[in-house]
Amino acid sequence: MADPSPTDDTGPEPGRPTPPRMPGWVKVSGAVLILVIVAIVLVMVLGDGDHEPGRHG
Amino acid sequence: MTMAPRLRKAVLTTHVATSVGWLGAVAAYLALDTTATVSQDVPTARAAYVAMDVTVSYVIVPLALTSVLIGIINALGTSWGLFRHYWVLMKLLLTLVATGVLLLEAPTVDALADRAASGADPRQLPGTLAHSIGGLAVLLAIIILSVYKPRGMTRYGWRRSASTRPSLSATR
Repeated sequence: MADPSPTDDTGPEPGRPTPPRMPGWVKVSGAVLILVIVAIVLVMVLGDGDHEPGRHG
Repeated sequence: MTMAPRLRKAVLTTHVATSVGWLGAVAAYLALDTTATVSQDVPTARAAYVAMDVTVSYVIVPLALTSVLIGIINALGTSWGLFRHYWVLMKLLLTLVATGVLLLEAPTVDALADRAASGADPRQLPGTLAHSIGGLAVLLAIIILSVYKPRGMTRYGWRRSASTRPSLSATR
């Protein structure tokens, strides 16, 4: 697995005053990740502790 | 600081081996976890829990920690850097989250194995399917990022690139 050159990224060329915008895939992935983390935290906080052994007993 | 080519390839090889090994070990763990959760045969379920503990303690955790460490060294030793490109940054975040959850869950797996081995009915134990499935999904996402390397330079990376790239007029 060779490393391709990292010099051909999208975005304005160096020297231009405006830095590159955050790509769409980063925004979507970040939003999904945040939603998943929030969901996990909610399950942990609102759950009734049914991970204890003997829950079926 | 960029590594010499031979050292870079050795580090990259180690990183790929440990990362893919981690993925394979989690896939095997998922098979054991599924067996432990659904099997109605007591000896089989008991053995599965014990095997899960062995797999986590002696395979998954060492591979995960090594993968994280070597991955950081690999990134810092190449022109990709650790914070210059979003795909590298996202990989780092996902890996740290996966490793953190793994280290928090490992004692639970050990406790389940101890309960199963101590004579308790292993069919009554909860298993860890949610964690193993989630972990596998995260690792697959990490590998996809590694192969596809979606474009996108961070502001930090853009500033570093601007400060180090030679002027085009000097080369023409």
